[in-house]
Amino acid sequence: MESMQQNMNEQMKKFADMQAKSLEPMRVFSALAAEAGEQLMRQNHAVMGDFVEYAVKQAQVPFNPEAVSETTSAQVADATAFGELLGARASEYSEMASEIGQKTQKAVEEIAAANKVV
Amino acid sequence: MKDFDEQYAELQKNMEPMQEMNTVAVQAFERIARKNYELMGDLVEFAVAQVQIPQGKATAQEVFEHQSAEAKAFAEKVNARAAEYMELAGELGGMVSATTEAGAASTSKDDTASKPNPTAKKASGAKKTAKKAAAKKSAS
Repeated sequence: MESMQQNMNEQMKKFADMQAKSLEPMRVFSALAAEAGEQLMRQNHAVMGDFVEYAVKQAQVPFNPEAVSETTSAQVADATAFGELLGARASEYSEMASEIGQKTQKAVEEIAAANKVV
Repeated sequence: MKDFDEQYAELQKNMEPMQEMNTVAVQAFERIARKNYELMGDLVEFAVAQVQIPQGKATAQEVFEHQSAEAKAFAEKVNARAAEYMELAGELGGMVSATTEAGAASTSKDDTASKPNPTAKKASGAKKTAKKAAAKKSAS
């Protein structure tokens, strides 16, 4: 009975080891996902900062009731600059996405190669 | 009846204290927005730290301990931020009351200036009587 239990324990340990070994490649993806999440969150935060700056700037535009067009043109200039900034941010996002894609592809290739060797 | 320009000028004059208040509102908006942004930054840092904790940790116990420590640190940070918000609210309240008082003081000054001065009235009345008397004399 005792030997049977020991055998069972050994089998369970073996099973856990095999499972850990099979999940090992996934750790690379986990690290990649964490990195991508961090980059994305920081980028989102930066964009939020741009929104804050834009809103503050818009609120600070002095309103001159005798020359409404001056106020309007200042607001339009700010909005145009903000649009350009958002365009730049969008390209940063796409650059980031392609970078993450390349890293993921590299990781997949490495894992596939490692598995072939095994 | 006053024409439109006069009415507009009067309206502008009456709205002057509101412009001061508008400046205070803009300052308050800017400071609150920046403070919110800082808080968002703290949230981002916390989330990033939480995501990175499992990397390189051997046991679930280790992960849990690190996560608990991070969460505790974050709670302390948020408490500090809450105190900063309270301080900011106090400062902004002080700014609003100072502006209100300044506006009220300038309005009462204007009122005093625009009110007729009884002494001056008497003096002008005496001048008028003297003029009339002189005119009568010259006529006779």
